[in-house]
Amino acid sequence: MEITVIFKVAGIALITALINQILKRTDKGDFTSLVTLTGVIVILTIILDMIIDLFNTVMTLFSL
Amino acid sequence: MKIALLVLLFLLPSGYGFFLSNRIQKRAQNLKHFKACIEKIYIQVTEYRSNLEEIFAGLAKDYSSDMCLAFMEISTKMSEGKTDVGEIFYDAFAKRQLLYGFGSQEMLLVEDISKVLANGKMNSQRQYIGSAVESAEVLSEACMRECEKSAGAYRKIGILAGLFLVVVFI
Repeated sequence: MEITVIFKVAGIALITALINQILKRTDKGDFTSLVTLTGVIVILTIILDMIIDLFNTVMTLFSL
Repeated sequence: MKIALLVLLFLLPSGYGFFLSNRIQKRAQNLKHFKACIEKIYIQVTEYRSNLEEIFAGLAKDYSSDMCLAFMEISTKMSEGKTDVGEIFYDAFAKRQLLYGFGSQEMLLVEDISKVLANGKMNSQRQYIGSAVESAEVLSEACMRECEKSAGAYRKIGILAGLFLVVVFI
């Protein structure tokens, strides 16, 4: 596994949290869930290949 | 090449954030000037009983804000002999709605004032321009509050959105 993926996910999480804080402070809290959802979708897109690899490995391991 | 694209990805949302922030600040500034102009009209009408043509000519000479452009047009049209003051007043501001950053609430206020100006009776003009000054003050204060809150937030969110994109595509 590449270490850059972990940094990428951490970076996205950090930026999403910062944006949420700013939105909450400016009385635009309605958008926080949208921003969080965007962050989750982006992270899932990045790690999707890895999840598929994991499933394949598990299936091979147990000969499924 | 990749770095240039990343810089572009960072600059686009940041620039948009700064653009929105500037627009809010400009709107607050123009609303403040508009309120000052309405106050001047009110004082001139109530205290000095000047006619509208003189008042607008005076406001057109105040080059400190963009408002002078609208008043210049109104003054010119009135000196050309056009008599429908209300319509001239509304048209001058409707034309510059984007320039001044006025929203629907501000335009409603302009419409109210234009209706009052169209009414030739001095007594009702005094009364309604007074209430228009109060409305402009309320709008201006609300806009200033929003400006204080949102202007900085738009800039920060723009920069963070740019960083977000850079992190995703790096």
